[in-house]
Amino acid sequence: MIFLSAVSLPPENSVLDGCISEMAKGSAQALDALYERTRTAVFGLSLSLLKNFHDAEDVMQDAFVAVYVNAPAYVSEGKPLAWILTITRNLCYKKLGAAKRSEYLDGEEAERFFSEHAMSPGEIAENRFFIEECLNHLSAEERDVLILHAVAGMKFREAARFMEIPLSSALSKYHRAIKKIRSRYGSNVL
Amino acid sequence: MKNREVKDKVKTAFESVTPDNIDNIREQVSGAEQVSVPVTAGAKKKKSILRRFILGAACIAILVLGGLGIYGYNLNYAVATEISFDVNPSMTMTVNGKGRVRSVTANNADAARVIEGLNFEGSTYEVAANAIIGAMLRTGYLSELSNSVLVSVSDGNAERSKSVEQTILAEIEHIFSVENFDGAIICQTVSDNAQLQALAAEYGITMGKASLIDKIVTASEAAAGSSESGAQVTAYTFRDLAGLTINELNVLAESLSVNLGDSASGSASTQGYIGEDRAKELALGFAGVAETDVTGSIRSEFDFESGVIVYEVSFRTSDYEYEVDVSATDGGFVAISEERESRAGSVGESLSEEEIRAAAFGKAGITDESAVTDYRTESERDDGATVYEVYFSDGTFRYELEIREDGVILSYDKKTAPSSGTGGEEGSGEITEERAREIAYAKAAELAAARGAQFDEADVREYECEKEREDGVLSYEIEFRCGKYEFEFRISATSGSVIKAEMERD
Repeated sequence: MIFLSAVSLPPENSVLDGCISEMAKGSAQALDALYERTRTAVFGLSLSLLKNFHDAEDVMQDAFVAVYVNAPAYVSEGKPLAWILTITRNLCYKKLGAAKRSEYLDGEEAERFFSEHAMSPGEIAENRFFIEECLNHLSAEERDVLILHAVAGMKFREAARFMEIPLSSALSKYHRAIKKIRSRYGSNVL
Repeated sequence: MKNREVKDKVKTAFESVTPDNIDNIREQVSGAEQVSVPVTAGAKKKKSILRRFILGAACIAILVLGGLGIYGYNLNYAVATEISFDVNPSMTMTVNGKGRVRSVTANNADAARVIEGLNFEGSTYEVAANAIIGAMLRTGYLSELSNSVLVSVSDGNAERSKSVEQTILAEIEHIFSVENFDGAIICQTVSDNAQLQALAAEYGITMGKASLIDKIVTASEAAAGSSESGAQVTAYTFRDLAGLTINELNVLAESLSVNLGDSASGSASTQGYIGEDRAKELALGFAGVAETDVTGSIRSEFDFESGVIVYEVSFRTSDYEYEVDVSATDGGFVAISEERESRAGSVGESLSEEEIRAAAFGKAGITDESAVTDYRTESERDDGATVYEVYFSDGTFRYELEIREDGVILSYDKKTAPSSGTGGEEGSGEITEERAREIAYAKAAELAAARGAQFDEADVREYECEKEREDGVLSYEIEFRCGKYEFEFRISATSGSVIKAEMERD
């Protein structure tokens, strides 16, 4: 089937559950394993909510520390990723304070993130296009569902529950997000 | 670029900007003390529901819809039921535990037009369903030409789901009878299914429509599996059917006798089609068979072939069995299959390559051999004689023949070649703007006749036609005025079927 996604390290719930229970016993390796599997999801969601690379990096760091600290209190309901991302989201809300989402600030500071890994200028430009597309041209909910599904690897049902919206809305928002990016990609010369 | 690629590229982009700060985290963690007090996702969740409640309460204004006043705010905010309505416009309504509408979301641009200006929040779902169906009738998405509505209910509570389904069915039947409209309704309960969810997301359709398509695909697979060896039955694929309207799907479901449960009523409109008699007449013409040579009866049923709804007309003569697919919307040729009843017979000498070619092209009526591509032959022994299988294409059609060594044609298949490109992109399978205009005029004449008015092409003014892709369906938007009326049509560019037909007094 064409629906299998090619993920190198899938945030498979049972694996994550195992990591968290090992972390509860103080395992540093389990933290590393969990980090590898979920860091893009955690950073992606933070960036989606905060629209600021530097703040997202701060939250990401705090989130993993919070996951480690709270690991002994974690009660598995088979939804470890939702748990981790809920912690992340709460840290983001705290960072934002009473303000709504912040505006995307493009600057030298963002540059560091785009060139974090050694890549060709073409690849950097393409990645920048997709990130900025998400941050600037999608509605908040479209962006959230896209990131939860495409980046964090959540199923639509999980994403809908996480966002507290109906499944059908999640599906249609996802589809609209993809369509928007697709149409703009076509008209954009990279 | 495909949807899949967008998804992958977004993922890659986010991976590329994710910083590696594990060292800092390790450092902070090494000095940290772990908790033993439960802090769970559930506890946080409550807070955010409260936040939503406050925001929501501030935004919601008391509204009056269909003459009903809505009192008080002590509503249950949790979504209990999701109800989707598909015609071609597609929308999803969420309902709380008390049967009150929380939201109505348009899933495509057609739906956005239908619900524009309507506010449903807080009304009962019956009233909202009434308003939605009424709006679809007014805007011409439900018409004599396309009369099918799909209602899909999703609710964790099976009993409530069934009761909602029955209530809505009764409500819509009531509107149809008041409006004197001959409509068809399919109500279904949709349960969670990861595969259907993936398909729904992939094609940008509702779970309900995905579920209906799935039922039809399953039925077509069963039909293909059980057909006797001779008949050519091909199962449909999800991709084939995703772009069809609910009316078209309903036509196929009826033709395949798909069990839609007890919550269906009425039958799909076939008024947009040329009619069985005309289809039979055309099929005989395409086959070059005189009606007097036909033994037994001529049968016809709806099928889906090469991207269009067809009349599959089957009949036999003393020597051959025929199956001809005639486009249901315009009577155009789509496919033919001829099969000789008896394969055994006199055995001649083997044919040369030249003779095979001549026999095949003669049967297919090919005059310009330069247009022929992908020509190949195979031979095999069958019933003691050599049989040549010939395959080729002439740009418009694909041909497949079996010729026995004495030159007798055992079988002949001619089929519209699939348009180039996989996603039904611009290709030969598409109708022209001219053709779309003809269809629109023909439908306008029918609509006018139904109202006792006259439609004369010569009086058409302010004609406008736009070709556009909306929700994955390529279509022509046609608008014009004639006499005292204004007409609006949307015609599928791939199948020629009428998606929207509206006639209004100017």
